[in-house]
Amino acid sequence: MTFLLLLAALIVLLYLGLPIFTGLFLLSLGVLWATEGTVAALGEQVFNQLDGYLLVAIPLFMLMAHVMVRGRVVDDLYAAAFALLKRVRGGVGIATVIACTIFAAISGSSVATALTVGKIAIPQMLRYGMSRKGAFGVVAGGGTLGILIPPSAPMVLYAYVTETSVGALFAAGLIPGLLMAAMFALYCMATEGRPTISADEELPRADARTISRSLWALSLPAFVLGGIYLGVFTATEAAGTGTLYALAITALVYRAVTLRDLWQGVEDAARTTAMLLMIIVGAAVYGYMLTKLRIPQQLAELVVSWGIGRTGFLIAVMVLVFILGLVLESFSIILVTMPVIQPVMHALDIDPVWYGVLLTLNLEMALISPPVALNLVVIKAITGAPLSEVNRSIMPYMLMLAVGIAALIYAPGIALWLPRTMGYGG
Amino acid sequence: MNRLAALLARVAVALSGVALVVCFALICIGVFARYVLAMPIAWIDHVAGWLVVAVVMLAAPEAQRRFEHIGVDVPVGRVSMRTARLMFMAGILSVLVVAAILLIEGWETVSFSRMIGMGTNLEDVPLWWPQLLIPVGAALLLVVAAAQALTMLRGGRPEHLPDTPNDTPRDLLARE
Repeated sequence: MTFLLLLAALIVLLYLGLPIFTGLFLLSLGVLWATEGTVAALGEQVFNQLDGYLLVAIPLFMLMAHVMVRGRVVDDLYAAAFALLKRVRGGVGIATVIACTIFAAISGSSVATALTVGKIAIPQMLRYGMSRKGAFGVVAGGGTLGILIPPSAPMVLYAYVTETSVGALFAAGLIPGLLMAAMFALYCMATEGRPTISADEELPRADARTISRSLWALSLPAFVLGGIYLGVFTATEAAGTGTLYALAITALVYRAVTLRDLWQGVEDAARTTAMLLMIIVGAAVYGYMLTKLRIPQQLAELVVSWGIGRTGFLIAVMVLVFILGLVLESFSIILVTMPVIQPVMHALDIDPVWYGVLLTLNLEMALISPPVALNLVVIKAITGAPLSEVNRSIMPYMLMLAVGIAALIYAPGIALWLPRTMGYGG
Repeated sequence: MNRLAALLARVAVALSGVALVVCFALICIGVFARYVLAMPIAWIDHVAGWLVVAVVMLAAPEAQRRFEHIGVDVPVGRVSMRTARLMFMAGILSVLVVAAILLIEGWETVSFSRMIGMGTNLEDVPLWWPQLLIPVGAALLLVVAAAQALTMLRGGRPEHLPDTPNDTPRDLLARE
């Protein structure tokens, strides 16, 4: 109950206009002063929270994504996918799902995926006869793959907070991510017709050069993930060498970036890192406050005494996370919920890798849940369509994500098979 | 004061960028040394961690100057101009308070570490050196938030104050 009251107080503070990091910080400090009268070694706690080797992966993955986005790789990816699928039923939509899946692995950002792919794909989908509902939905839905398909910054943070293997989490996210992409593609195939292409129409160009350049872009996630999965790199090293690889591709293959662009990308990556990791500053005080009030232990004891079991607990938590996802973004949800949920997970013997993938799927659903959904705002911004129309377009994708969550609760092996096969244990 | 705050924030974010580039270079050098030369360089892991603290604390003031810190945008987009202004003011004041607390607490941490001579895993590097990033970043954040608050109190409009928050995603990747 105390935890729910704290969450409600936090949401009130955020609705008053406070950034998440100050909301968390001030709420926690207020509670600590009221209950303990003092806060010990605050500066040290903040420093220790930020000074973690695994966290180094986050700014480096950000840098890699900024470099690739500035390299304009998505144009070729989409053209190549569309050229291959132009005669298939729902082909133009499936090409969008494929472009989203690959770009998700490159950028690790759902909003960036929806915007970057959407800007190119939506006009093409509408031009080749796809319904507006279908076109908007597939971009918003496909965009959500950004945080599930590895590498994924929220997964790195989750691994840091829960002390879970990043490699195991990345491996666990891969099959559910590809299954969701396949489900989205099948939906396009089932609901849309073949692209309507007139005889004299000029199709997006996909010559040998475009396809070979797309293969270079495709090789980046393969390089990063392959390095981690084969045990060659740690996640941080993969992020560093992945950035080097991205620099080489954009400079030598795409030749689309100048030094000025690159520096702008560096500064943007630094600011993105600050925006995300300043939440950790607030979370440092928040975690200390929870520990002092013994809230995680109390919740663990309460849940165990209720005897609701793993499935009951997971369903309850998924509902809570979904509601939080309507208000907060993924980093905040991980930092706000995990200190409380982790002891209960431990008590109920819930695999943290499994939960990490479930959490990420749920966060994806929040990204497209009206009324507060960044991916939908992006589509509104690209198309100028009324938000009500965009909201309606996303319902089938929300349903598919809900089915994905239910399937993953019922069959953890969907996520856990790959990491276990690769020897990550658990 | 606005000009000073903008100048400080821009210099700080440039230094943050330099820290990120150095961090990237160190990680790549570390990989090369470990896998090609078979000579792991242990200090790189520690320094990379400190560089992330530098990236965050030095870029946070510029993110504040651009009103980019993550929050809940929707209410601001749905209320009157006057209420939205009050909400932005509340946000700025909260940053001001948090920055002031971090400055004081960060400085106390630095002073304490210095007083008892706490070291790091690296020989000759005292802990207070990387810890100093917390009060320095907090001081810069304080200057930026104070400049924004003063502008608002005078009835002015701080640079980069959003008009319609929902139109621009906070994800910087999505703005390119």
